Amino acid sequence: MIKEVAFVAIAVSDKERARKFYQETLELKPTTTGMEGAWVEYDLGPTTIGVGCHPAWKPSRDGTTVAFEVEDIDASITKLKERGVSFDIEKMETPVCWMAQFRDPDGNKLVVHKRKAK
Amino acid sequence: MSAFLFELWQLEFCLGFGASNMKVRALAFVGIPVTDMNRARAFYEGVLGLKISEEMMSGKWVEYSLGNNTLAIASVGPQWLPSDQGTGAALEVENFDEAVESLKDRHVPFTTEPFESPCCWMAIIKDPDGNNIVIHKLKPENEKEPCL
Repeated sequence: MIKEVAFVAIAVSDKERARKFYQETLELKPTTTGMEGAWVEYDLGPTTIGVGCHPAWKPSRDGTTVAFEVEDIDASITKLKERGVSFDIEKMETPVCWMAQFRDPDGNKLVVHKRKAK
Repeated sequence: MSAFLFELWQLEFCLGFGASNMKVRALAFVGIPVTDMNRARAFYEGVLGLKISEEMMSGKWVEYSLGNNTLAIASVGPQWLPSDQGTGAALEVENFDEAVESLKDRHVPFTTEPFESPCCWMAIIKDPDGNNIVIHKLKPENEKEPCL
C-alpha cells in the first residue's frame, strides 16, 4: 500500500522565528514557500520537510520526531550550541550511530544523527 | 574559472575551509513514539503493510525501510510519548482510493477525511497511540497544478 515517505511536516507557532531557526541555525535551504510563508518546504535529498504554521495544528514536545543525518556530528553539535541551541540529550553512542537531541523554538524534538560505517 | 582558481576551490572543498560545519545531508529517520509495541506493530505492519527492516533494543525500536527513508517506531518510556499534535509523517501510497478503502474497512480513525488539493489527494489518520499520519498521493505530472 505504501511506497515511501511523502514528506514530514513540523508544526510551528511563529513562522518568522521558525524560518530563522530552520534556515539560519540549521542552515536548511528552502525549496518552496507558500501560504505567505506559513508553509515552507526544505528538500533533503529525496525527502521533503515541511514547516507549517496553522492555528488548528499545534507544535508538541512529544510525538513524532525528525532525525537529520549530518556529515560531522561533533561539529554540528558545537555549531548548534554556539547558536544558542540547548540539548536535552547530549551526544550518545548506540551500536549503529551517534545522536543528540535538541528542540526547535516551539519545543518540537529534533535529532542530529550520524550513522556508523557498516 | 581559471585552472588556479579551480585548484584552490578543490583544495578548499577537500579541506573544508569556509565550508559550513552544520551540513545536514539527509533525513536520517522519522521516529514515531508508541506505548505498546505489539499493538503498534500490528498497525504499522498489519494495517499499513510496512515491512520490517531492523529490530533493535530488544524489540523496543523497530525500523521500516520506505524508499530512501527509514520510519522507526519506538517505545522507550515516559521521556518520549505519543502526541496528537506536532510533527507528522506523510506516507505516499500507490493507489489513494484503495488505501482509504482498506483503512476504512479496518476501522482506522480518520481525523481529516480524504480531500483533493490542486496537486495531491490527502487524508489524515491516527495510529493506535493517536499520532497523526498523513496518507498522501501526488497527482500525475499532467494533472498537477501548483499547490502553493
